[in-house]
Amino acid sequence: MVPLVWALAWLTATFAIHVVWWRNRPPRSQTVALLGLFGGSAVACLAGAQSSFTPVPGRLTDFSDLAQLAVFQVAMTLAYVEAYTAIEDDSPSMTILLTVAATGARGCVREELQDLIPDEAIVGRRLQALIAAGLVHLNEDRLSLSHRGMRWARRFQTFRRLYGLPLGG
Amino acid sequence: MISFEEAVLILAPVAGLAVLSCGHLALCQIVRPRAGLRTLIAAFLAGFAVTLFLTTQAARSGGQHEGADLCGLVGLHGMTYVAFAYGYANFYNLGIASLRIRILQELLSAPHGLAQQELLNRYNGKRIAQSRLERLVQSHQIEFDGHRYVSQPSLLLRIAVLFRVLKRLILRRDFQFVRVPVVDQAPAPTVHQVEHAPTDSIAVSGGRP
Repeated sequence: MVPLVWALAWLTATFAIHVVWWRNRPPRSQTVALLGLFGGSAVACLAGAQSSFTPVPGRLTDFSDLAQLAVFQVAMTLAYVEAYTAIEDDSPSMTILLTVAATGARGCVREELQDLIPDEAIVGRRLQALIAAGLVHLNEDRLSLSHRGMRWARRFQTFRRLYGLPLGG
Repeated sequence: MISFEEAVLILAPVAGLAVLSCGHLALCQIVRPRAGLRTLIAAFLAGFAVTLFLTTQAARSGGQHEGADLCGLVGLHGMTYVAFAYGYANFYNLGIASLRIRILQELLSAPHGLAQQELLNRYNGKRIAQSRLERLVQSHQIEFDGHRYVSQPSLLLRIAVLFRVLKRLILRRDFQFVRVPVVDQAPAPTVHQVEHAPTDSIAVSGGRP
């Protein structure tokens, strides 16, 4: 039971620090900051769990217990960093769902929903991110894939074929 | 030096993830085309069963975990597996829903590149909304009666509400484009109607225009 208590305490404390930090001064590079926060607090938690200052009933002395706690921390960190991208960006599907729900029993017609998502806010923002990441080149209004972008695009093409997925987006 | 039982215990959620990913890939090959959500759920359950089986067996054969300790261990490994599975589901979903990957695919299909306007003609807000609407109706997240789209209680709607709460809590802002469309023929919903929308917690957005 003790590793579970440490795991939940770590998750709660880290999330609380994350909320307070982001509400007061959100970092510029949010993913890197999130990884730093979760990674740093995980190391501190593991050190605290085996520290001689920790009372014996709550101390983790067994390597197996510490390793299980570390695996939990890795899984939660990766899951939360992925979830955070959906919190940070506005998902078109969630935007549509919330809009339809807000109209209640009246519902919406297709035209009302098609105008919800401005090109610039959705496509433009993602395009800027791809250019900033060096995956896409922009030369005099002409867009093309960089070598790295080409490699990633081919990887995802293979991935889609492997799983039998249609063209997404 | 750790024993074999301890190694199995530590890596039980990772073994579950391996069963999930290999099982899902295999099911996608068998159930083609359009494998859908069911294959993912089936693979998730198989991975979860493997995680729980390995955890309980390794804990019992190690002889260190009984009663409340075993429950705590199962809880810890269960949550670890669910977090791994969430990561895998997101990775799989990238191929279906990621806008960035779609842009890369559009550019890959144009060897001489595209002007920004050409890209927007091929792939724009209207097309995104259209493909998302089709997907949401197909997966029964919203209903379409041939003329209007109507909300219904669904898993994705609950997740959207949760993300809206987290967005407000962490970033102090709302979804930017959620708004109730103004329709001439039908009256706009009252605050009462909105408050009693299917999730009981949907409110008209105060988001930026």
